[in-house]
Amino acid sequence: MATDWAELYRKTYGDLVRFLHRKVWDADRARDLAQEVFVRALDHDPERPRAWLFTVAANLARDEARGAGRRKRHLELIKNEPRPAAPDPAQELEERERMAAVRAALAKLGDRDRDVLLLWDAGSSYDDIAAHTGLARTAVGTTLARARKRLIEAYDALEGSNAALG
Amino acid sequence: MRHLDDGQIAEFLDDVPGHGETEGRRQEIEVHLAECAECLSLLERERHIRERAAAILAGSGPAETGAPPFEEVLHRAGQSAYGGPRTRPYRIVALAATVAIAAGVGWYGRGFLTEPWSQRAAEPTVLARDSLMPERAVVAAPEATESEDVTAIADAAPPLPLPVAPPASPAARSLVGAQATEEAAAGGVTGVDAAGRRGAPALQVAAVPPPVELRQEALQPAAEPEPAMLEADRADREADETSWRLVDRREAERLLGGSVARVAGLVTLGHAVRLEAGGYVVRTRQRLGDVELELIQRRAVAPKGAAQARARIAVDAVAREIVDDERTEGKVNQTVRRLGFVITGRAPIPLDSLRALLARLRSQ
Repeated sequence: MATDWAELYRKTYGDLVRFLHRKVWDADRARDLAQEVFVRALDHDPERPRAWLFTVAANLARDEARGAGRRKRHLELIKNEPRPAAPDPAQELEERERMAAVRAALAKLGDRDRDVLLLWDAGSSYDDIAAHTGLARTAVGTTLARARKRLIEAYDALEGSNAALG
Repeated sequence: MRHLDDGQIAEFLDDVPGHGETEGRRQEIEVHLAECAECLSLLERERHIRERAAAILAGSGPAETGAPPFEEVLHRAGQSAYGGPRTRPYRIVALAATVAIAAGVGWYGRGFLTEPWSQRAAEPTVLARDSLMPERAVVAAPEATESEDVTAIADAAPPLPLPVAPPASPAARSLVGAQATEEAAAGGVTGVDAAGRRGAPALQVAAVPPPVELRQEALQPAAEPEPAMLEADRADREADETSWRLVDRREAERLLGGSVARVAGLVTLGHAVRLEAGGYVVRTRQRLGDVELELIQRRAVAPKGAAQARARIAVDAVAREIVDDERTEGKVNQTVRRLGFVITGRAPIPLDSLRALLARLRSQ
């Protein structure tokens, strides 16, 4: 059966952006990569489109991370440019800190735990998670339960150390 | 029943039946949870962890994840199909090397030709020229050998987004600049570059077609046609409609003798066939939002021999030209050639949008 890509795009784009954002930590780049994933999907027309989209997204994010170092200098230059005023600086600061804490907590997880967690959060089925990570289907629930616990522990530890410092 | 483990509880909370399990298994777990305080406590703890993890992750996502129009994806896909920035560099190098070798062979082999090159070069063949796109013109020098090579590539490979690749060597490049374009427009190509050197008598491309831009107003109807023309067209179409027979894809492919083409990413509504003088023609209807795209696919005549190989290049070039039909209820037409078939796309959208869609043609 042919895939209705327009419909799948409408349904999946948000999940894909969230998934990618937690890998590249740049909202605009995540949106751009999400579209790129669909561009590639149109070329391949895969049989299991949703699983395929997230697999390709993970690969693109990995490539993106490899190229991040090369762009670091450029980003430093951008950072020095004057930025438009935020509507609420305190709120923006809080959001940034929260995002940094989540990022650090996710970084403490193993690759597989992190992938399982992010795929679950993006709404992927256990079958798709198993296909993406190479886990046995029966091991997905256990891995996911462990990953959730570890995320909370890491996040709380970071929050605790921030509170102690602050 | 044994106590539940973390994985089973995770599956239960995520409302996922275990592998190979049924709804009965879920009921069995519910009964066990009602009786087992230990497992119920574990369930509550896991539920809390699950909600907390979701909340942590939700706080880190981008604020707005609304999907931009799908047409943007099609636009990007169309650009890449026209050899945009995603084209792999080694392919360009390989293509450039092929053109350079062909140019060299043509140059050194000109002495073996029975007819002097100077006479042949004086009679170039302008195969196609797009009157609506004056910057694009495909020109072939009267050299059968290279023409055959190019045709063979076109037959064997998937449809290249460009009619032919731009030549890479400096001498060849100089032949495809403004001078060559002007000469082509004037009806003659001398095959002599800006420095007065004679270029190899290989295939010459005046300019590369620009990447197609899908406008944001892609789904707006085209210009309103005259009422009388609409009426005439309607009558023609009603008469025409009776000649089509609805078939499934397999039957369409059997009668056509090849794969039915479709635009990747669009929903296919159905296929119909009718018999014409040249054989069966297939009509495929696809949907993009509220817009319906019609693809008419017929087999192209297969030319044989070197002389007709040049004609095939001409057909390829012409097939990429715009064939506007004014009596089409505000729809525009464009015809392309693909894998031995001539396919006409027809939809009530701007021409450049239709082009972008046709750049996504795939076999079923």
